[in-house]
Amino acid sequence: MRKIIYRFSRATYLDFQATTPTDYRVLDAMLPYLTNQYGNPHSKTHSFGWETEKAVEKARSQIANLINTQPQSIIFTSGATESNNAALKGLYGFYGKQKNHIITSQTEHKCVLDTCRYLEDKGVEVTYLPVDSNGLICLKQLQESIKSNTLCVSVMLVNNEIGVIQNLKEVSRICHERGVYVHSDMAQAIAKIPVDVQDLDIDLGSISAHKLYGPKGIGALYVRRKPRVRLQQIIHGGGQERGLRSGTLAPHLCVGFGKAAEIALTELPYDMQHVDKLYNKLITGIKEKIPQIQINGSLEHRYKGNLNVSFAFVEGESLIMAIKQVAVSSGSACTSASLEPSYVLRALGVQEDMAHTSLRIGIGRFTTEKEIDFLLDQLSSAVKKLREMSPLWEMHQDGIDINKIEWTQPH
Amino acid sequence: MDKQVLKLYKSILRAGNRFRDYNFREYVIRRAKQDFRELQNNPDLKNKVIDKYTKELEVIQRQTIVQNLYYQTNHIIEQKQCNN
Repeated sequence: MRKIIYRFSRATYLDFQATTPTDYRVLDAMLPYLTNQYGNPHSKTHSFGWETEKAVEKARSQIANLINTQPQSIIFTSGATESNNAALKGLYGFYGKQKNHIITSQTEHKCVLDTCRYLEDKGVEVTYLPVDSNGLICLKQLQESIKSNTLCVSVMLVNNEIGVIQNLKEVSRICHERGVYVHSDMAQAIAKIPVDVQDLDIDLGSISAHKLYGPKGIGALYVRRKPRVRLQQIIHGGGQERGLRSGTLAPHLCVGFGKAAEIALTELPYDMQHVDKLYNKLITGIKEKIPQIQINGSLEHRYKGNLNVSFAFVEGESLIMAIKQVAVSSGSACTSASLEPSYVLRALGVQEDMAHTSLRIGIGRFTTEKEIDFLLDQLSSAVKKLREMSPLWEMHQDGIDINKIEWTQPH
Repeated sequence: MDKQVLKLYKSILRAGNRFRDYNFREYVIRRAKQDFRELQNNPDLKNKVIDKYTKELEVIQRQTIVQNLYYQTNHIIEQKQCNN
């Protein structure tokens, strides 16, 4: 019986904010620890343990070099979600009795917002700062929200949905004047823009390996040592990772993460140059070929590898299905299983219909110019085809203002 | 460019072309061309580039084998090029 093989082609990957491919150099560094060197890094009595411990400590210093700190400040966790949980719950666990007010923003990642909701049930007061239409928090509002019992402020450096870069240095300055801790979810910023935790002056930072071309399943928490930040651990056990995160470390994941960090440090200027070039091509192409678009988020304070665009008079789900051969993310899918548009776009003040048609295009180290050309072709033809079928587009072409229409009969 | 550098450059390009995966292949070739072109303009980077790429060559040779073992199917752009 002959087996029939269906040949299909793989789509272009343009969703670098969701995850990134594992760099071939990272895999090369990981393989020895998945084959011959299988020791437990915490075994102190034989060479199997010593060699893996050496590799893990080397990885730790590679990650510390990337963000300009010492290796002792890095704690390995299972990802940025765990790091965010450990930071907020850890701070509350240690200082929660005297200080129980947390400030965060409305556009944070779900794990931060959900942790805050959990802490609210425990009696913590949480202030969710609104953002302006560019996606940036207002520093004056932050200053006014800080009270005498404020524990910490959590603001992400680069937003995963709209790519906006917050002014974290100013936030840290305002908070440290008043004795408030600063935590930042840096997962989308590391290896994309230069991140220096000494310069940004933050106390806690979350890093995720699979956002910087490393393996999935590992992350890190930066815990400042001077001045010391005390945390209560959320995972109890044998006291590994300075007592802050018990559990056996996975040498292959740590080594992969370290290698990815080392590559990121040396390749950062080239990556940024490459992403800039492709971003300029993309944005001039979109503005030329497709009329009636809206870019969500500030154009000035933005990481160029993340572009969130809304197309007027087009339905979101049908657009995603029409450009099947390009893998992008829509503005609503990654946050909820329901059809509700994304809370980040809602916080920006984007209208419901525009929020439904938003598309998040991610560019990364491995994207080529031909892929951008392909994306522009596919997008322009799909949008044109869908608009031709849309009665709202026809009405717009005839000069009717959609917002002024009375859709229901008055009773 | 002197012989050692030229030989290294050619072996990098030859090894990089063995990647069946479109994105990795394009990346290796693009970066190698960029780095060696920079070396032409700036000859005191010679030792740095030679160090980096002698190590890279081994990594690429190993990884072309491993990545190609798990390669699934071609990229949509490659298929378009085939059809045209």
